[in-house]
Amino acid sequence: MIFLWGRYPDAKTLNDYTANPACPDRTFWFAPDPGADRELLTGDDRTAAFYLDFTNTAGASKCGGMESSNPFRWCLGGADKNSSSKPRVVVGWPDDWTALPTADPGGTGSGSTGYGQRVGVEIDTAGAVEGNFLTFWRNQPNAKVIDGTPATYEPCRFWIFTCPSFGERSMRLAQFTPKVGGSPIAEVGLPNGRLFLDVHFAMRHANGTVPKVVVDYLDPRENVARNCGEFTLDLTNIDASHTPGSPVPATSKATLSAASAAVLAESCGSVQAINNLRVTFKVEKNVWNSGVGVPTFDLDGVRIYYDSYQGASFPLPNHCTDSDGDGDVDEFDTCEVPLSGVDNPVDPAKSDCDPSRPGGQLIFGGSTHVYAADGSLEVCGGPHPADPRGAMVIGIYGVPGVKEMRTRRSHQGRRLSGWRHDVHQRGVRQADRRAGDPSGGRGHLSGAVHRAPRDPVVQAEGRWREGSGLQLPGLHPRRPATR
Amino acid sequence: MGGLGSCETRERGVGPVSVEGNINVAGRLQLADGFKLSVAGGDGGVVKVRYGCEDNGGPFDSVVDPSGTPTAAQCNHADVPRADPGMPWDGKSIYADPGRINDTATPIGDIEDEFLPVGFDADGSLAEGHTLPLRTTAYRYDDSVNPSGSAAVPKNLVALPPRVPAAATFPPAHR
Repeated sequence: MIFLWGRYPDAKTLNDYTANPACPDRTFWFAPDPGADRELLTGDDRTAAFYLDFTNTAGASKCGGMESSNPFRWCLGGADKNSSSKPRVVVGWPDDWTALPTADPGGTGSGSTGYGQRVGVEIDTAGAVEGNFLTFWRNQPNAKVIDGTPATYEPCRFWIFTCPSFGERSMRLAQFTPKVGGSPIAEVGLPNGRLFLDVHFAMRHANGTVPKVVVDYLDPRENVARNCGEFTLDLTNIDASHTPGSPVPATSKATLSAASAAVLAESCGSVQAINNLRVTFKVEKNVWNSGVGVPTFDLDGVRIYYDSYQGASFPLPNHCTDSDGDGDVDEFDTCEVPLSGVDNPVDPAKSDCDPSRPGGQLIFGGSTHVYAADGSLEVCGGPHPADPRGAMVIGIYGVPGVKEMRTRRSHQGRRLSGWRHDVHQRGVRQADRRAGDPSGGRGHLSGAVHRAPRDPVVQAEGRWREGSGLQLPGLHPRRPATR
Repeated sequence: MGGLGSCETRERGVGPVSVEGNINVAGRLQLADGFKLSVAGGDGGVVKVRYGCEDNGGPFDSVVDPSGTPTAAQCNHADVPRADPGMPWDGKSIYADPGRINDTATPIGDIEDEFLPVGFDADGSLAEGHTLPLRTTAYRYDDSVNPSGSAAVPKNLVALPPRVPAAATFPPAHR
């Protein structure tokens, strides 16, 4: 999703996307100015200005569970307090992710055109084993990771009698890692894509039993389980004569069908759901364990996987460890993304834009402001087009309020009249918020300057209004970086 | 890496607001409700406050270093000029807005060239060569459309619904 340079008079233009629960986990890219060639991310690009001047009160919306609507608020996520949308807003030249689609994305995908690098996502380590272990499981922790060593279900036996399996032969795996930041890629007719599941297990003496998985997720906001579906496992590749407790072959696994994967993604394909999935392996039927031999099951583990597109990752911490204990992290410490500099704060966020390249400047006018309820915003100001080496790099520019303009006598002792009064009566305060706005005060101001160029009072008041928008907000600008 | 990463729940609290650099406060510094200010980096995390510091009524210990140890904020610090040769704020008061030419004059149009916003002049008019199209929607990439681009929409980008007429473009201001 791309936003271009220009003037945004309506918060709804942005909030329709960044505060829309139907658009979760998306990256919204505020692109540089494409320059004369009209093509983004080329050599003549330059830093772009995004003038956010929300004057259209019809665009008022709530944000982050707030009770009141506000037409001047740009909201990042949080449109609904019961839903997470986690938008990632990146302003400037993308760094280490692809903002424009490529014709042949890599990764494990199909190679079709898509946004960003197509990557295969695998979640295969459970952090917890849950269930009723008064039944006949042993070595339960072995099911957390697919490594060949299984947790084993084997009913007790007394002489020629076998204990029944009242209840279900079940084990639930939860708290899977790694956590993810992207959802499955949409396919034709499947807006949520497909979410696959492998269950690595083996068995012996099935005797009419039916292995299944039940998938749900624990909604972290309301602490309730939400059902994702129940799926009967395909036993084609399952080792059915396995010695209980012995290593499970890597090939002994059941994979959800493509249709089941679509069902699973449809119900639980959001990032929030995926990060809180629980997979219950259970074996139904033949509760008396009758038949020749005792039904046994060895569960090695579960793998959840799907294809996703690489997007911005700014809100995802780098997970550094201050190995040398010096209070900061540097190239001597361990991070997911190795660092080259020194004196970095512990656990810094990854940066998704390159501050040395053309970027974007967010200019906030009047009461316009941004509220990050459930998302992130990263701004790389980039070099100033007019003075790349001398001007400050400013990513966020504030437009302060100004005093109301009042007509008064000029130094020549005459009173301003005609259109000047009209300006005052139309409500100067609103016009004052605007810069370069032909529909607002600017048209009058241009007239003021050009119709009375020699009147210093008129000129001063014209600038009072036109220039009102452009003052330093007191942030921390700096010289542009050089590489 | 890719779509992977961390989405752990992060508790919201009153952890210190972290600033890397020095702080000069032209007015009062007030930290209420248990908030603290962690200052480091720059020249060592120096905090100078012109008109005093205030917290919840006790001794002012709300400015801390990264380890959480209170550091001495210089409350009621006298005004002194900056000394940054070559920078636009060199010689100005440490409490003055570094982007303004004359901090005592009307702020309108009073802005150093180095601090001008992108695409605008100091009087608020559009800088020459810049446009400010009206935007009412987002865009997406489609390599089968808009092959040449326009003045307001780059090549291969198409407006997302609700579709709007081609964005109006402001002419550069007359000067």
